[in-house]
Amino acid sequence: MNQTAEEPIGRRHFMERAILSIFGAIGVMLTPPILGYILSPVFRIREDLSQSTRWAPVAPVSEMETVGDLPRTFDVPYRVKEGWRVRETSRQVYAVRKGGELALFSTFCTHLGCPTAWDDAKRMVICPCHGGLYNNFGEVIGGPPPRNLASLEYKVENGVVYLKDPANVYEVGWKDPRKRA
Amino acid sequence: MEGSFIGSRLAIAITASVHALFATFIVGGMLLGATAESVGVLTRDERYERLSHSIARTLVLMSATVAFLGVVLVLFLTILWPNFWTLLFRIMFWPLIFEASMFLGEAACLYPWYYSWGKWPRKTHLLIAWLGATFGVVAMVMIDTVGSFLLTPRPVAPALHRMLNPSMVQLTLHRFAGNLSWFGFGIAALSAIRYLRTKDPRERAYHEWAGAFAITLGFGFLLLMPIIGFSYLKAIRFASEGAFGRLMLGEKSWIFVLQVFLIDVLILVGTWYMFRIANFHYRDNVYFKRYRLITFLLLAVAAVVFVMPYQMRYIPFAEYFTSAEVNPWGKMQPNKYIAMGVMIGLGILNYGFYLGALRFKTEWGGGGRLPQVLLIVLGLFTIFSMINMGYARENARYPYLIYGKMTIEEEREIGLGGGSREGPTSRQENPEERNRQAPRGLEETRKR
Amino acid sequence: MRQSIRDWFDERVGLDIFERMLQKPLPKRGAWFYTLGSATLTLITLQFITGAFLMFYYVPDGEFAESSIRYITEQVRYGWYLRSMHRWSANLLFIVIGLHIFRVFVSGSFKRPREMTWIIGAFIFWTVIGIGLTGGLLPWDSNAHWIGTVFGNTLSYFPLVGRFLRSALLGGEHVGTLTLTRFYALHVWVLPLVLGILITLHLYLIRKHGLFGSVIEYRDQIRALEAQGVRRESIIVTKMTPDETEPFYPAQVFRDSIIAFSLITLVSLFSTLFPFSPYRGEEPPPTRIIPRPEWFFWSVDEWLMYFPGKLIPIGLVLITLFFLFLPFIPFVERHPEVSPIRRPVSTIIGAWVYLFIIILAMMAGARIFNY
Repeated sequence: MNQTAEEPIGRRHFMERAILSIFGAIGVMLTPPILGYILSPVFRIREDLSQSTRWAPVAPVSEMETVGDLPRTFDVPYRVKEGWRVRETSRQVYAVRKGGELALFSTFCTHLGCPTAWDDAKRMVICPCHGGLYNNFGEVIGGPPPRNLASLEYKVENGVVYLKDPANVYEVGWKDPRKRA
Repeated sequence: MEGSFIGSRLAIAITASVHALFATFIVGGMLLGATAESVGVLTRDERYERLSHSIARTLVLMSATVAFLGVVLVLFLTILWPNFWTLLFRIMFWPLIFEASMFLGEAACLYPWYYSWGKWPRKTHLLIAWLGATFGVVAMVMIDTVGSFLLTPRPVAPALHRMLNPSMVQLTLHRFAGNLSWFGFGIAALSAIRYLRTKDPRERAYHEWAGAFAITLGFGFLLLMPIIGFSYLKAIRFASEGAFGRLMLGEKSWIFVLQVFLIDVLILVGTWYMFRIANFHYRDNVYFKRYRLITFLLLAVAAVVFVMPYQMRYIPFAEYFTSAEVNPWGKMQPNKYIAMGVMIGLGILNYGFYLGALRFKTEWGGGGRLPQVLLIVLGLFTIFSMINMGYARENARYPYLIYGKMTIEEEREIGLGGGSREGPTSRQENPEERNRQAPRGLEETRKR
Repeated sequence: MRQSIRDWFDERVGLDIFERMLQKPLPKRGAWFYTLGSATLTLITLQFITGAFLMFYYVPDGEFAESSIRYITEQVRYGWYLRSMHRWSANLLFIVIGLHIFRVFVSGSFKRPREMTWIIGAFIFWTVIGIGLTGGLLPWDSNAHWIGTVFGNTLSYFPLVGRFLRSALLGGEHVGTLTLTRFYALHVWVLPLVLGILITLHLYLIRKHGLFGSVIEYRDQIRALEAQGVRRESIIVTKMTPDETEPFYPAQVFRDSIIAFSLITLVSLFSTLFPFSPYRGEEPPPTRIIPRPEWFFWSVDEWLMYFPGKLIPIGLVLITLFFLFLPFIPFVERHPEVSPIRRPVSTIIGAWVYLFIIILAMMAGARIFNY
């Protein structure tokens, strides 16, 4: 008697479990591929960067000789790999003579990455987004930026100054990941 | 004739300060009076009615004074600094005319509002109160356009840029919140005086309640002030770097240290008052007592950090105590930011506790003398801080009258201050040089 | 004839459900304030329609996006009109949604048993913000580029997960074609789909519970129940007498129609008078580009500016907590009182928050205007 009364409940119980497992299995089949699909560019950053321009020409050395104490802006054309495409683009760098040495630093504000500009009248590098202020060597003198404008590596070859890794984005945020290594 | 020139500056400064003190009081009062009457209509609470009526009486008494002071100020400007005043009036013709007519409109609403009390239908009466308040706010916006133009001018054309100059919106918001805060503290202090002078328990109940109500607005808007003020200073720094340097980093930075001290006092005393009033509700709560203690300790530490001067050399008498030029503890980033955040954050929390307790407060008038004394202190410090702030703002652009456009030297040559005996060389000197600091280093200018 | 057609449909579709919905009683008092919800729905519908037709010509590609938008605005017949409608109604939508939230908060309409309606409403608000954010990138002009950059870098300040979030959202370390395609997918399909589902749930719940009278006096009812010993939290006040209510159709539908008509007229007027065609004249040189966020992000922009250097994550986390807190409001304020006058603390706090947001936005606007 007891067994016949319990049987439907056992069946019902089984079906509930089965429904759960069926949908769970569907979820398992769908979720990881979709997540991987969406996040695929994240995992490919390094590879993409390695296929972008490593050394981009900034200007001839003769032109760099004329740079003085105040930063001058240079356009740097380079190619960057994005997904399936290699895109031609350009960015800017500041060049300044610091203690007799040529120094290149980024134009991207370290706060949120807005394009800064040198203001001749105020004699400061000014970020138009949130009023970050830097002096002529890219050192923070006010506003929200967390650190100085990123200094950039360069090399001189055949009388031309080349900028290293123009496509890399380590110029914004608290830390410079290059220094950690 | 050097003396008479200083005399003219003094005369204009005093008239302008007192005029501004009364004018802001009226703008805030009109808004608060209209609010109080509306709340009275909605809650059918007699006390709001009485409060708004007495506010109206105060304002009626004051508006004649403010008009008189305004006329005196214009007279002084016309006689003593004709060059400056003509230039300013030409640039800002319409805002100034509009401001005057808006004041007229405000007065034209204020008198019927007071004298028709209880006679006109309620809706008309409310309408006229709010209309007057609107006129007052528009007048304030107009005079702020002029005031902000003096410090952060933009090219005169187009008119929109002249009006919406870099610090105009910030100054307007600062004044708006400041007026309400000032009026809240002012009316609280007045009712505290009335409370202390009367023995009648019913009167005492009303005056204690009026003070508590005024503080809800005064302290609430006080919490907004540092935030708006921060944005305001940022705008000044962006548009008129020299003035900012003079005020925050340079020789006048001690004024700002004083100002911060006044803000500290306002927040601490206001918190003390709020805890006193709210005490009945949390009396049995052990955690609240601990919280109160911790809050006061944190607030005190934050206040000390906030008030610490950075540029020691510009603080009067500081050289007797220390030889250091800068005080590393008084850095703006991040010390003072954190201090400011702590003060505002705890202020909001305490304000919330205060509002929460006020809901359940039914017995008024038994609070004793201490809270009322605190209110009077608050009122006095508010007056002090308003005058100090006005002085700081007007002094920041020295030696300019209109920043970057016209200096006080140019006025001296034409005005009553005596001819230019120093010869033409005095004009050759670039006024910008006076504001320029020693070479900009990282640490030095990091303060803001 | 008409009756027979009606019966035919009634038998197959079940028209009586819809008829009962149309007859649902609504409070007479404050009825005009209840049109804010339908105004939001109107504008969202307009967004769906105009957006769908913009997709006919738009190309989500780093090279061609800007040209395709230029083609829409300059060459396609009425293309400028549809595009301007899309943008203007988006702008208006944020105002209307803000007013709607304020109305619901002040009149206590989120109180029991309407908590779920409020929670889903908060989700709708998040989704709309997401759509506004992703849509800002699609014009793909220099401003859009910097909006994407600033947004990604803002995310990168989140403790622990920041850099991952930035890369996941931008599809790489910087704003490029991959960013555009994923923002496009989010903007035109993923988020609108979510929005549609949420709106359906929202409407279902509104129809289930009916609307709340805004300032109708419930105090006596609550007192009477409390006197009987009912706990304050468990009191539900929903009953309205018949003379306080009227059916949804036609009175409320009439009001809604008027509001919808005025809103769409307004949008149309704005689109005709101030069409969006930012491609006039020459592009400014890169050094002169000033990134300008959409106005509905101004207050967030200003807020983040107050936290310099090491403090940036604090500001970011605080503002995230604010948005995450929105759905929990019904669980914080649980007592059944609904009148804004009789719960002054909530009203004052709500008014403060709105005032603060407006002040921040005004200051950011002044800053952006003057840079």
